[in-house]
Amino acid sequence: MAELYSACMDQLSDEQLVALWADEEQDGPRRQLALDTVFSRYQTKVALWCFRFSGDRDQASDLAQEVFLRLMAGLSNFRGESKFSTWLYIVTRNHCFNAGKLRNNRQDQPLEFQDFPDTQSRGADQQVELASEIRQMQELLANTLDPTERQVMTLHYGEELTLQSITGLLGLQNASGAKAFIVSARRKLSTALVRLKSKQEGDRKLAR
Amino acid sequence: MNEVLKQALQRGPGCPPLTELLESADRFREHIHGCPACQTEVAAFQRFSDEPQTASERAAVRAIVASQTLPGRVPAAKPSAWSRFLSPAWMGGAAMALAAIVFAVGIGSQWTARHTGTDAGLETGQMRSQSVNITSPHGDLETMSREIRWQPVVGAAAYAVTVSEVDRTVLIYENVTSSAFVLPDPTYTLVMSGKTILVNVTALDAAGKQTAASGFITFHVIPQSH
Repeated sequence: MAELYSACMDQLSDEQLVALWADEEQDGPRRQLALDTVFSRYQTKVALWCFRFSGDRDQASDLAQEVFLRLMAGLSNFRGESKFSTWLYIVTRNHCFNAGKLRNNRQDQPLEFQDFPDTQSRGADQQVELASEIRQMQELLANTLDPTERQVMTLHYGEELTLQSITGLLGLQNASGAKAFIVSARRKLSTALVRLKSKQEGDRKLAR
Repeated sequence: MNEVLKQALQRGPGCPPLTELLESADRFREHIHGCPACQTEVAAFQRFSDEPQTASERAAVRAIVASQTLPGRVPAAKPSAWSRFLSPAWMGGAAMALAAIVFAVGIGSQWTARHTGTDAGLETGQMRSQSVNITSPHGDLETMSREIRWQPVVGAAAYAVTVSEVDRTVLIYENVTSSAFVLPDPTYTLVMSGKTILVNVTALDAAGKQTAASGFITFHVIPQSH
């Protein structure tokens, strides 16, 4: 009977286990078993992600424990609109990235990227122009950088993660990790930008 | 930091919601090609879902998993119709009076038991609880005995013991009547090999119905280097 019962839990999908946990008509031990079953399916994945992110066993242990507390706190709001595994990943990702940003603010700022002019002072009427420049930059990134360089740039400049976290998350095995990819990406982008500017100059001259 | 570059590297209003992007990446292939942020999100999700741990990560991950306490002790089940019927406010006075009588009888019976040297609870060594409390093993261990032990549960006629690996592969499943289970040789060898192990003990009544559960307790025997 108990063997069948335990085997049944293993047969249930993540979403069915969460539904069983959420059903207040079920008895406590059964709900607990459903919750333990679904969480234990992902314990290793969460631990691995946290370890890659932090590079430190103790920090990873704290992060993973916090992730499960967040999952627990948010579980009653899980409506099954996405897969449970996707939701769990997003909670894990958000928690680690936010923790990384806090740590980053305390320790080191992202490497300054001075190859491009500062464009922060823009009026509301220039937003269309800004959107067009962003699209152009995305094309440049897609056509100039290799996938690893793009991911490193995105995680460092877009998400403001430390180079150590990026090295761990992407599993980079080279000696200087993410920093080498930042250097090569910056060099490639600078060259591509110079080419783009001279092409735009030429186009403008032709138009005149 | 250049504003255009930064925004080009972040997800923007033109990007699909994250859950849709991750679950239906094929549908957004064209967008992903031109959006570094979405490319990075999809790649990171794939690594989370599929990328196995390396040999150098294995020991750390095992230790992290072993140190975790899965949260979420669930509240007791909803009260039954009978208990709802028996607990309206108008019964408060009567209930208090009844409780006082029961309390007085209880005290009297305890006094009698103490002076005659008998106590049902102490005699059977039972613990008044609705969960099974595994006393050993748990956490990181230098070594372990062959026995898994837990505190007895009132009314339990048997216990179902499941020992499994973290990927839910069941190593052994047994029903026992005492509050301890001795691991047989093959399972003990596997446990001693340094794998993180999950133990779950459920208490069963005479009809085989589950009355209490421990949840999954993890432990890990640290391999000895010689």
